[in-house]
Amino acid sequence: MECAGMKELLSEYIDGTLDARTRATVDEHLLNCRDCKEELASLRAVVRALESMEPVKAPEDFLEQLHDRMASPSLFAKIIRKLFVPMRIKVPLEFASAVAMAVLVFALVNVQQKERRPSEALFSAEQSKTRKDAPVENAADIKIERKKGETPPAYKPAPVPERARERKPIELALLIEKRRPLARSAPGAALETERFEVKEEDRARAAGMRAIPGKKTEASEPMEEEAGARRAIKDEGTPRDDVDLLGGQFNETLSEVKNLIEDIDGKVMSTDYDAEPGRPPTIHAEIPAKNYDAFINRLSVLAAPQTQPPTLLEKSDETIEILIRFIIAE
Amino acid sequence: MREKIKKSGGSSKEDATLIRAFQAGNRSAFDQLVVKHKDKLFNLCFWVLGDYHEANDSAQETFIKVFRSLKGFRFESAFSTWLHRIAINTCKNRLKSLEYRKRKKMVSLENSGPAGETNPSLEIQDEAQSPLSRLESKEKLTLISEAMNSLPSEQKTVMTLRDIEGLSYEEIARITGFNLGTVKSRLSRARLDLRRKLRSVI
Repeated sequence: MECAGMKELLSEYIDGTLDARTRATVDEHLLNCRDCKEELASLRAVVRALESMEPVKAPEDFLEQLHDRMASPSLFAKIIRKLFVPMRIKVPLEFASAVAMAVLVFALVNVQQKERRPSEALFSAEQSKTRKDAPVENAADIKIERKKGETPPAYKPAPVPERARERKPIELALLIEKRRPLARSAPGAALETERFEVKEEDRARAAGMRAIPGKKTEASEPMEEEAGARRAIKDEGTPRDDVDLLGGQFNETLSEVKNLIEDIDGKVMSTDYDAEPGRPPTIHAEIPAKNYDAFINRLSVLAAPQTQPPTLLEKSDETIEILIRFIIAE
Repeated sequence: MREKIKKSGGSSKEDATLIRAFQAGNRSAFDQLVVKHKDKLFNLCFWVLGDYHEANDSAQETFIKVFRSLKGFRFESAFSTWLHRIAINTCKNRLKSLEYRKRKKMVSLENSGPAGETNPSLEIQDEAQSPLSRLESKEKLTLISEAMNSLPSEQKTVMTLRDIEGLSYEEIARITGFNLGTVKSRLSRARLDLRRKLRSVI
């Protein structure tokens, strides 16, 4: 057997655990191999040295130390003890404080939401006008420029534009003033006599703002083409005699509003007529959010809005729904 | 020496009687078991860990574990084998801990007990700083302890159980969970390595 293999057996040879045959082989090798004999001698010396080592004794007070350690509760037990003992007092207290904390957090969250809402609200007419050019991304970013020493204007919390978030349609009410009472008995005369308070020059301006080349602008057409405008309404959907009750002037305005919606790449979803005859219809439309400002500007030229149209702050939506109502001022 | 350690281990019958007494509610029976086995266990922990304080901590931790589990002891193995197994695992976990690794370079040999005559305080950082003037026995203890600590932990454990504690291969296999062949090969390798490391001393 080679020396390397023999050295592996020397450990067991020292312990006397080799079987008789292997032991005889090792004995024979050791008689002829001086290196392995020396290896065996030094290995024996190491084993003897280890065996002769004085045992390292435990400290005399080992048992006392152990008792102390066993008596002292663990860190976890200490924490639990501090937190819950005595249970009768600490547990209800902790429960009460947890409830109080929950109420506090709830109240804080509510207050924060309330504070956020007005800041997201629409600005007054002047503010919206000054901010018209700069698109508003975030309500928090809005800063009203004012001169030094000027006192800030009193802030009026405007209604929250919930509709912008919840995708409710934006309602616009257009005020239309009627010069003369509606008269069903003389429809022909009505066309001539009924006049709504929509000025000719305003309509011309609205038509100019459209500025779409090659597109025919109804507003620039002469008033005599009211019949054409009426046809346009009928073509689009629900022809109703009620419209006639309101007069050709109204029909033209209605038509212009619809054209305006289409001009700004919007879409008239429906024209809803009231069940009661003689009442103006409601236009339900969808327009691109980016064109909302332009739409409002041009719409206010066509007919005066009853209330200031809301300023759209969140323009992330691609399209917005609009509900246009007409209010006849007697 | 081996005989002395084995004698100090006491009989397993005595252990069984004490365990039953503890299981019956006699708390002092546990103390008797501790007193009976503490030195043997401490010696084992010291040679596996190479540090007096760590050995003390681990030996105490071992007895605490024993105290918690002794009620459920089923006598399927000898108490001493069970005790050694818990001690070896406790030491192994301690060796693994990061904190211990950081302190590994510093070999502390210190006897905090009031007797102190058998384990005088010795503290060396490396072999080169070992003072030549130390007493032969102390120096020998230090050098062997250092050489043992440089061995892989499994080799060191097997070697401690065999050459320090004087246990049989079968007992070592039961304690460590290695098979008999692994015990023999690890012991052989450990002895050859230690001989190489201590060539200049022994």
